[in-house]
Amino acid sequence: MLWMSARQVMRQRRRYLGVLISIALGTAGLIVILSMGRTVKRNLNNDLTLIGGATIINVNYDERPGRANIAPYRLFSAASAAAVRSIPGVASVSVNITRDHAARAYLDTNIFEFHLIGVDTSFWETTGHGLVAGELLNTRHEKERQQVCVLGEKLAKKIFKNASPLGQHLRIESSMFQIVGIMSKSTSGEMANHAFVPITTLQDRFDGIPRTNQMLVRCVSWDDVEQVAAQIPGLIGEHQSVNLLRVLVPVGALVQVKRITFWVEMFIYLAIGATLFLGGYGIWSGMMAAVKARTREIGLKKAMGAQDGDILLQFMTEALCLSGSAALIGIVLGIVGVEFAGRSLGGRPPDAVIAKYALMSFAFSLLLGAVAGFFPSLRASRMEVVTAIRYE
Amino acid sequence: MNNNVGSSEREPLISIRGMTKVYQNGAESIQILNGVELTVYPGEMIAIMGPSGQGKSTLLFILGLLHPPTAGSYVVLGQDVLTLDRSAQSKFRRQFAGFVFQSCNLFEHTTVYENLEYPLIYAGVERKRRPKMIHEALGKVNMGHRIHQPTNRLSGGEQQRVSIARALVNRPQVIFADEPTGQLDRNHGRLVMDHFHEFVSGGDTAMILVTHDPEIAARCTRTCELRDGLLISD
Repeated sequence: MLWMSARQVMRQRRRYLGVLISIALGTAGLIVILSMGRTVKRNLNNDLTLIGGATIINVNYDERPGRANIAPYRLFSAASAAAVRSIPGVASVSVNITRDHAARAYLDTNIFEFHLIGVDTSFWETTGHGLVAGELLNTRHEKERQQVCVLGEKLAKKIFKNASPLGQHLRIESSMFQIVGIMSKSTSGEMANHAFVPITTLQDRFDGIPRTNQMLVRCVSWDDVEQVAAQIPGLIGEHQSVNLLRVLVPVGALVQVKRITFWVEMFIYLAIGATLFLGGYGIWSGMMAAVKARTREIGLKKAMGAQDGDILLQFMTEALCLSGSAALIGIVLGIVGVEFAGRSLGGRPPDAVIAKYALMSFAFSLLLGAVAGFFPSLRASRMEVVTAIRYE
Repeated sequence: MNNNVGSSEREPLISIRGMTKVYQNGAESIQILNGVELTVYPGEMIAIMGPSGQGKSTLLFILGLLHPPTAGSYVVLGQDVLTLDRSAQSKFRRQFAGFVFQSCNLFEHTTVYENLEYPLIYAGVERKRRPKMIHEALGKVNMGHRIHQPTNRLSGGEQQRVSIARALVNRPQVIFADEPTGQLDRNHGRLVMDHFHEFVSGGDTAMILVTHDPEIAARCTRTCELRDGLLISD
C-alpha cells in the first residue's frame, strides 16, 4: 500500500508541486532557524556589545568614598576569574584596573588627559573591541610587564593628529610607553578616548594610586546573563571576600534586546508557521480535490472489496508520502541552508544538533500531513459505493 | 407471469425472495423493485433486459451488495447476506463477486498490472502469489502482452478486457456485469462474451449481466426482463 501510494503521488506530482515546495521550504526554514539559533544569538551578542554590551556583566567592589574603610581595594584573583569562567553560559572573563583619576600624557609641549586602563589579554574579546592598526596587547606584553600601550582611536588622533602613532613613544605620567596599536571606537564611543596598558605594567608603574578593579564577564547570549550573574558572588566567595561586591547587570539593555529578539523570533516563526500552514492547507485542498476527482475509483475499489479502513489508509498514506517527501527535500535544503548560514555567521552547529532538528522537522511535517490529510481521507472512506460508482 | 425465475434440483448460488427497493424523493416514494424473485445456479449466465429506468442496474447493485434493498431476502450459498455488517459485506464482495461496468472504470495513472493487483491486495493475497494470478487472469482475455502498459494507452476494447480480467483475478463465483459491451463495437462485444462463456463453462460459477442488446442476451443461458418492478423469465 505504501509503495502504491508513493507511486500515485509520484505520478501526480504536477498536481502536488506547489504543496511540495511550500512544505519543503517551511521545513528547511525550520531546520535553519532551530539549528542556527544559538549561533545567531552569539553573533548578535557580539554586535550588541557595540551598542551597550547587553551581555556583559560588570563585577566590582563598591569603593566609593566612605566605603573604602569597609572594603579596602582588592584585586580579583586568578582563581576567582577561573571560577567565574567555568560557569556554563560564560563566553569570556577579563580583569582590569582603571585609574580613578585621569592620567596625563606629555608630547612636545602639549599635555593630554585621558583614562588609563590596565587590561589582561581577554579584555578585547570580552568587550568586543578590535583594531584599527598595529596589534592588541598580548600575553607576552603582560608577562614581561612591557611599557607598551594601545590608544583609543579618538585619543590617538587628538595626540598625534594625522601622523601615525604606531611605534612612537609617549610619556604617560613619569613612564615612557611605546604605542603598539590603535583600538577601534565603539558605537557609543565610550572607550575611544582611553589608553590601555598591560594590567601588570599598570600595577608596577602606578601602584598606590586610587583605582578601581573590575571583572567583566561576557555571556554567550542574553538568555544566560541572569543565571550567570546569580552564580558569581557564590563562586568568588570561595576564593576571596565578597564584602561590598557589586554585580552590575545591564538590565535596561537586556530588556530591550530581549524584547527586540522576541519579536524578531516571533516574526520568523510566524513566517515559517504561515509557510507550513499553507503547505498543510495545500495538502488538505489537494487531497479534497483528489478525492473528488477519484470518486469513481473509490467506488470501484469498494466494489472490489476494499473496506472503509483500506480507503482511509490509502489516502492517509498518500498524504503522508506527500508531506514526507516534501520534508526530505526540505531537510536537504535545510542542511544546505545551515552550511551557508554557518559560513556567513562564522559558526556551524554540531552535526548532532542539525540531525536532531532535521528529525524534529520531519516528524512535524508527517504530523502536518496526517492532520491535513485526515478529513479528506475520512470523507473518501465514508463514500457510498453506488453513489461513488455513478459519480460523473 | 412467472415471478420466481429459475428452478433446478442443484443447490442455488443465489436466491432472492420478495426483493423490493423504494427510493424516497422528498415526500414522494418511487418503487423500483416490487418483490423480485430470482434463483441462480452454477453454470448459468443470466441476461437481465428491460427498458431504461426500470431498475436493472439497481438490482445488479443489490445483488453485488453495493446497495441495500428496502425489503426481501438474499441468500448466497445458504447464507443470508443482508444480515452481514458493512465489513463482512466487503469481505463477501472480495471473495464471492466480480464486477464489470459499462465504462471500463480502470484506475487512472496506473498500469494494467496495478489494476489487477488492487483486488488481490484487498483480499490479502500474498505479494509473491499475485504475479501468477494476474498473468493467469490476463491470459484468459488475451491481454498478457500488455501487462505493464499504462491503462490510458489501451483501446476501448482492450480496456474492457482488462476490466474483465480484473473481475476474474480473485476467482469469484459470480460476475455481475452492467452493460459490459455497451461501449464496444460488435466484434469486440462478441469477444467479451466469449470470455464470459469461458468463465461459466466450468460449471461452478455464474454470471448475471444487464444488457439492452438482444444478440448478447441470446448468448446467455437465460434471459429475464425487468418490468414494473418485477422480473419476468423468457
